[in-house]
This record gives sequence, C-alpha cells and structure tokens, in this order.
Amino acid sequence: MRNFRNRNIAILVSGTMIASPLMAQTVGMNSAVRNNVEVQQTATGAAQKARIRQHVKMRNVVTTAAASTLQITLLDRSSLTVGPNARLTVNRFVYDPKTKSSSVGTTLVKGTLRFLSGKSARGGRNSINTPAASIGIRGTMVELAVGEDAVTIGKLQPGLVMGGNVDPQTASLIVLRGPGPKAQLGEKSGIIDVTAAGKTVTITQPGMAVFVPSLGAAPSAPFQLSNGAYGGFDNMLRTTPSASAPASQQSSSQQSPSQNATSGNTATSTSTAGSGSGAGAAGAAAGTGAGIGSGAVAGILGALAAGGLVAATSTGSDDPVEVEEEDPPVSP
Amino acid sequence: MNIRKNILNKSAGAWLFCCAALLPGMLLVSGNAAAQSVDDTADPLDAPEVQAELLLLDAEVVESSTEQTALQLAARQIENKDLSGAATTLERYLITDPESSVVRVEYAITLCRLDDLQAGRFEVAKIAENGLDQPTADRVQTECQIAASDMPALKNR
Repeated sequence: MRNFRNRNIAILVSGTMIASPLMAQTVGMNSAVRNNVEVQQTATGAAQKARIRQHVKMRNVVTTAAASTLQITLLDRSSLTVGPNARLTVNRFVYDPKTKSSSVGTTLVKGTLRFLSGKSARGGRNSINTPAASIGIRGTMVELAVGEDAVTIGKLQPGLVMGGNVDPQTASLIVLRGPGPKAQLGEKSGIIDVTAAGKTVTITQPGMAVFVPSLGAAPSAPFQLSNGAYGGFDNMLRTTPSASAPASQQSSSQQSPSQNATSGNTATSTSTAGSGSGAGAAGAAAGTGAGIGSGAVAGILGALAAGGLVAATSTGSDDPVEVEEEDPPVSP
Repeated sequence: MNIRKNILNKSAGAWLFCCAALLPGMLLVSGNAAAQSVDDTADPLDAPEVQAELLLLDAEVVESSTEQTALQLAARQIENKDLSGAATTLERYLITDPESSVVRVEYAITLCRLDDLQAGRFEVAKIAENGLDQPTADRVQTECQIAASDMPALKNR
C-alpha cells in the first residue's frame, strides 16, 4: 500500500514528452458550465456538449459560444475559467500527489481565460500560450484575452495605442490579478513572465497588464489596467447580478436567469460608447488612472449604473489551431 | 478538510471506499444541475490515485452547487489557508447563480484578501444596489480598504 501511495503520477506531457507507466488521460473536471460549451475529444475528434462533472482529458479542445462560460478544475485544484467565444486546450499536466507538486500548460487560441493556480501548482512550472505570447506563471491569478477580445478590451484602456500593427487574430492582453504582496494567510505573491518576440516582461504587481499587438511583436511596457478595461474582462469572465447588469444583459436575463452575466455580446464597446455605457466606461476608467484610490468604488458604481461595463464582441475566426509545443507561441 | 485529511491518511482501498461513500450524501444536498450524473467518461487508464482524486474533486464540485454548501466549502478552504481555492469555489457558484449576494460578498472579500482590490471592489459594487448591513459593510470596508467617503454609497442604496 505504501508503494501504491508513493508512486508519482505523471500525467501526459505535451506532444513530444514521454509517458509514464502511470500515465493518465484525465486532468480534471468541468466544475461549472453555463450555456453552450463544446468539448472536442482527443481520441475521436467528435465535439460534444460539455456537462458539469464531466472529466477533462489531455488535449481536449474546449470551445465556448456567445454568453457561455466553462470552469475547469484540474486535479491540483488549479482552475481555468473560460469566457465566451473562446477556444482552449490543456496540453501539459504533470501532478505528483505525494509531494503535491504539479505543472500545467494551457493554450488559449482566442477568447478570454482566468487562471488560478491550485495550491499544489504554486511551486510548479505553469504556462499559458497564446498565438502571440508565452506566459510563465509562478503561483498566481492571471487573466488573458486573445484576438478580438484583446482588441475590444484594449480599446477601453486609456493611453494604449491600438495602431495598425494590432492583429485581431493574435493580439494578446495579459493581466496579473494576484495574489498581491499584501495577500493574507500566507498566500505567496504571484508573478508572470510574458515573452514575445524574444523579449520578456515580468509583472509582479496585481492589476498590471501587458499588451502584445500581434505575432512577432514585442510586449508593451507594463501598465495599470483601468477600471474600464477591467470591466471588459469582468463582463466576459465573471457574472453580474441582473440588478446591476447593463440593460442589454438584463434583457437577456429574461430569457434565462443564468445567462445575464455575459450576454449582450452583439454590442461592441464602440457601438455603445455614444450612450450611457460609454459614459460609464469612461467614468470607470477615470476612477482609476494609475490605480484605485479614493472614489474608485463610487466610480465603479457610476459605471455600473450607466451600464458602462459593456459586453464585448468576439467575432474572430473559428478555425481550429493544432498546438503541439508548449513553449513557442501558437499559430492562429 | 478534516474529511480530506482523513482520507489521505487511509490506504488507497479505504480512500476509494470513503469517497464512494461520501458521494451519495453529497448528491442529496446538491442542486439539480450537479446531480445529473457522475461522469461517464472515466478512463480505465487513469491511475488509482487519479481516480481517487477525481472522486474528491467530484465531491467538491457537488458541494459547490448550493449556496449554503458552497459557502461552507469556501469557509473550510479559508480555514486551511487556501484563499485561492475559496475564490475558485465561490466563483464556481456564481457562474450558475449570479444573483446570490451572500456568495458575491464573500467572493469580493476573498479577492480583497488575495490583494486583488480592483476585482474585489468591482464585486462589491455589483451588490451595492441591495445595500449592505453594517457588519458586512464593516468587513468590506476593512478588507477592501474602501475609503470612508465611499461607504455611504454602498450602505444607502
């Protein structure tokens, strides 16, 4: 029995890695599913509607539809919250239950993703690849937007230049959410390394972000994510009660009580900017500047009241991307 | 977490037995969505340790499916100094029940305790429409470091 317990579990490493006698295909479980999410099974290639408590296998391809969300919890208790119109693959997962150490590798081809390291993953080598960047993660909470979503959210960030070099297929926006240096109960501070075009930018402060405009472009200098841009992530990755949701979300919530958080995906930030939502987003952004200070909550309240935290559109290509390698950026 | 600790201290056979014994009880307290079925795609190639871990994870997912049990799980995780785990649990519940103010306020406070003040304050703002009772408002103000001048906006709504 001792031998049984002492055996390490090596769960399939990405395409080129070796297999262990204890290799397993299962890396975790769908822990929350909202609306339309499909999982393409590795073995059969067939896409199936995702179900809660369904096991997630190595290299399954997850695809979410509009106003849809999936939370995957891995065996090491890392969690992946996948926003609407996204495509994601877990392509590396190594977990040793004896030492509680693990290593996770994920690829986000498009859409938005929130990653929280599990307790056992915090000392491991975790990474997320996008078409334009590789993000090395050291025990942290991180959020990403790729493709159209990155462009949409980027437009809500004051001062972020969205010039001609921005590629709506590969653009990537990455923000460190925490834990910050003042996190409680011994939670270690999170750090991310964003590498693109041979340049690496390290972020150590929560709320700081980096934008990579296209494949082959270097990451921007780190900047403090504004409340307006945060609102873009929030709309895609978190839920909002109907009383606080923008009008477009409230109308959608009448169709289904569980759809109100990320609905309204047909409205772009640009198209709604002329109404109260634009004012709200501006108010939220103005509430931050270089961070959150006094008056920030009032600014957020104003933004919510004005419906300013608009849902974003993601209309990027649905072309699948095969990802074999962990380290280099993926191709769209 | 005591259950988890006990399980980990048992032999693998007992581990699996305990997990299997726990699940029906968890199902009784779970919501309809989570109680649909245990996954039918279990891979026989998975190591016994993986299968045992999946049973534990399954129990956590089921426990996250009602407001009361999700809060209980998050509280246990915080007791075990796992703030990130608690945030995941509360986030999981809110995906399927965005209207739960009691879960959202705990989620907000947990984010602030992880020193993600921006996210925590956003979650607070979302429930401000309902107003906060004084003890909750005090916790929010302390953990999320909200300026006193902003608090009336939360409490008077």
